Amino acid sequence: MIQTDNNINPIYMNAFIRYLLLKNIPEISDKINYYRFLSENLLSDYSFDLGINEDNVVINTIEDKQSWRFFTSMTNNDDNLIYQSIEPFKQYSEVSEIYYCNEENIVEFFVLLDKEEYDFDFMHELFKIERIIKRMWDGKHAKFNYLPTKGMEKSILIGYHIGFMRG
Amino acid sequence: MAKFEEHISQAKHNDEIADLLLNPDCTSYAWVTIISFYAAIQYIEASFAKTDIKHLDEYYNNLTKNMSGKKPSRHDVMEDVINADPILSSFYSEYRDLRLGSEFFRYLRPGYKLFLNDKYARKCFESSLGKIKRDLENNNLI
Repeated sequence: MIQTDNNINPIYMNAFIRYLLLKNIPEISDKINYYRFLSENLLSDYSFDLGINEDNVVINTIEDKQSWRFFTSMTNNDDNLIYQSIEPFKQYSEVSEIYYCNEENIVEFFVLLDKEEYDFDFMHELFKIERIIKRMWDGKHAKFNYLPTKGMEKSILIGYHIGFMRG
Repeated sequence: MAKFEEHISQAKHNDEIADLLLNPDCTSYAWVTIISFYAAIQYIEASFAKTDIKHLDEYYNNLTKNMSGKKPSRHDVMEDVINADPILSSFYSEYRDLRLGSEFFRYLRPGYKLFLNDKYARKCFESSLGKIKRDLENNNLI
């Protein structure tokens, strides 16, 4: 049993599980099930059982052992997912604003960056976050756009909601 | 639908053109980036023939045929396929470098001038496209 603290972000917990599996620690990977997560994060209270099947896929061990969804998708509505999609970017001071638009099949984000040139290493850090968030939005395409803050014409963001603004 | 050999042939063609525009001195930062992106797409689409995806067009049509409202684009779906695949995901970031740059230039998005330099175009061609090719080759997918 793994018990989280009350403020852990489910995104990171999911990544953590996968990290453990990739490390192939016998005490963990030999146990196909069951890790119980108890968390009362900022968004909602939840507790349920998750397991890892033979294909290293997270499954809900109570409801359906065959099918799976990432547990953040199982427990959170779209508003919570948007919050959790934006939250990890805020740690970077270069991220000045984030806008989003949530449609039926696509959720789109515009991340505004205080950068004077394209920084490959920095962008790869953001892409790592992107990858995890995309998986959270199971069944919906999460699209990420990055634009420099400097010289930005906000008119192109008409119809988008503001998700984050620094300062 | 194009076959494996056709995708490879087009990929190499794009690859060569990008090289010609870049070396010895870059004659178009925008086109080097855009063509490198399309070379990557052709290499990746070729690799699909050796995976469960087989043809991206067919996969895309099946995925989106019952969707109402705005659908994800073909590039969007390809990005998701790359992200989900244990082998292809090794170059997810490099694919994103190329797609972002290519879109900035094609649509002249605000800030596109940030990409107008030799360093960016060269890195897209040599590092990003280079890694995509290398990873696909190392896994016998192209």
